[in-house]
Amino acid sequence: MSGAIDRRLHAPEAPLPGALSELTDRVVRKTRLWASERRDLHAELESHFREGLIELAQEGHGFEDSVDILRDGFGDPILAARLIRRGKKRGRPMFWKVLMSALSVSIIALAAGGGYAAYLALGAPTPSVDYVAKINEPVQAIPESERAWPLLRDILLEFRPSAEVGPNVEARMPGPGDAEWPDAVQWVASNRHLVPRIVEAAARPTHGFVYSNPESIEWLRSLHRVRGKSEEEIAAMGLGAPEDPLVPPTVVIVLPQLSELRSLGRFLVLDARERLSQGDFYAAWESLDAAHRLGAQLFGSPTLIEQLVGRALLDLSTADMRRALYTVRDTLTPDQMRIVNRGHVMTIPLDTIKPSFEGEKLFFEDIVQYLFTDDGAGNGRLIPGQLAKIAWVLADGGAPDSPASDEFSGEAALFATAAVHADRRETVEKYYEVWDRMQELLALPLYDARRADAGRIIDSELGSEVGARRFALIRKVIPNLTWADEAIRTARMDQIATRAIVAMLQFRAVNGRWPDRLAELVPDRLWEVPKDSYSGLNLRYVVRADGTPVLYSVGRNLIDEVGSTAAIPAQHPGDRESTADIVYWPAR
Amino acid sequence: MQIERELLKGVVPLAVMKILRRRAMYGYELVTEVSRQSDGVLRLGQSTLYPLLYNLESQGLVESEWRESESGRGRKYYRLTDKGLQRLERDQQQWDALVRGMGRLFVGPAESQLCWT
Repeated sequence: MSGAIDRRLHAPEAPLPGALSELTDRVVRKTRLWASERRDLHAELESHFREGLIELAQEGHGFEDSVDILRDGFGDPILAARLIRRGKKRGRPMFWKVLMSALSVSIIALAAGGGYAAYLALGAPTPSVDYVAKINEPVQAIPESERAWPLLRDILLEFRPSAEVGPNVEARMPGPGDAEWPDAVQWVASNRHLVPRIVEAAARPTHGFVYSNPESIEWLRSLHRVRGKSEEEIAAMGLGAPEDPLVPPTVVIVLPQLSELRSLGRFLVLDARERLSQGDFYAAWESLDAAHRLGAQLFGSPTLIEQLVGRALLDLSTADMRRALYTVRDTLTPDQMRIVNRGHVMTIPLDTIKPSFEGEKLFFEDIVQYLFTDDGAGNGRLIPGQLAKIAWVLADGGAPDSPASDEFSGEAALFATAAVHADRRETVEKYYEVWDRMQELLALPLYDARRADAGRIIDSELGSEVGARRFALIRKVIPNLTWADEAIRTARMDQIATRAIVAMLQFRAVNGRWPDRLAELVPDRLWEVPKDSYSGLNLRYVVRADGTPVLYSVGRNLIDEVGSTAAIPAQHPGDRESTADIVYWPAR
Repeated sequence: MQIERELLKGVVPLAVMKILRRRAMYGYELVTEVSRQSDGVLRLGQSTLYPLLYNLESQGLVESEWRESESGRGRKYYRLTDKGLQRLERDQQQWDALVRGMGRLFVGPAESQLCWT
């Protein structure tokens, strides 16, 4: 071994031969270890090769030969780097291992979550049932000559809302003597020519509206045209259903007739007031009877919203019937009484005035077939992309661009959870379970306190945190009966009380006095003493000292306050203000 | 004689710990000692040695420290820890049993009394 070689080998600061230095660098670089670990490894490998060179030199190998032996004897540098990395990592501190484990778990969870989200988002619905056709089936089985809508459709195109004629008197519903009465009279006069046709339509047994967006939208356009809107203005209204074929057709159904019918009912009532003020009881009763029939027709419609408009017409018309009867109480002729007796209020089957939501059930089924996938066996998963398409509906109504859509975004997390938790079968089964329970409760007598549970069922059945998340969709689309059931109760009571009043007037016409008790009306004029739908007991009836009879219900608080009409606040969320007792006679 | 890699797998850590039982050694020295003391049967490639040492270190069976040699060069020495010693003794008993068993199997009961120590 030459002196030069000896110095090269023993000097600590002497550089390693190029081949070994490169090998060292390569292995160290490939380990991708921390810098401190790489420095340590580099020093160790360098030391290793120096010792090797010295040992081999001592064994008589030449310098270049030794370099070759060490390089070749090292093995595969890539494999070495990988094994070294593995070994070094095992020796790292515990906190780092814990951190890495947590990170790995997070990455796996994220990847799994991302994959699952993509899996959910990529689903597509396969709707197979035309629920619009299904919901129309009962109506289309009825001959057109028995449906009111074909006549009303044309009548409403000629009908002028009050705001077009003068000040909007519809909301105030003034009577003779009120400041706005002249405006009301003007509005009534502008539409009076329609009354015979309205009466004809009202005489038909069914309402008969057919759900069809193309027809409804065309009708709505015609309505705007005759009311003076330009084509540009109509186009700007954005009428029309979404073109996306994957939006459930039932959720974008247009029901433009409802607000118009409400307006028509108000017109009829004001027409009756005007007729009565002119002393024409017959014409007045005819208009009130028509409004009543239009309202009753809507109770044959499949959805709760239509029935509630019907209830509003019944409410308006019966209240004015009682007022009319009160006005003519002392002059009522046998002829007038005969007309009253033939009126619809005397004959309407009371059990037809009830909340029914078969339509909402079909809407739900339609929503399900568009929001869930279908595995062919009745199950599937919720598709968030589809859910977003009806966000504006789920945000408690409004139009697709309304601020209500923003409210929905706040619930996105809830629905996302629902998407993970609820499957199609479970959602449908739960909806049917709740729906059946609601029907069961609503079959109870009107005075049964358990009926109120139908309005609270959403909270009791679906209110738990798990239920709320799993069945978020049901919570949004199942009808809320809190107010609807109360509305139906008052509508039913209106009919019962109005009939009792007619019986009282008949009794008075024959006997020359008011009955002392309602029982005196049974069985000649009533089948039974009318029942109070709040208490389940007899409707209250007293004759005051001045001889005035008072017919009333004990009202929502169930306390007999002898006909007090003091206001009482709402007792439950969703309740409306009421009066202590609900007085039907004397009519105000 | 070239020993199958799979056969060597469990043996090499035992051999390294056995060598380190006597005294602390640096990497290159270990390679040569293992080869020498096993009559060349166990030849450690450097690419095998260092991962093996790091594994033993991570398990606390050996520990390392940098020392300066007489010539001033830095060397990283590895020595057996108490835990490593316990593991060595346990593994050695298992190894003896294995050798005896294999001996009986291959050469008969008498010769099988020989053991690796």
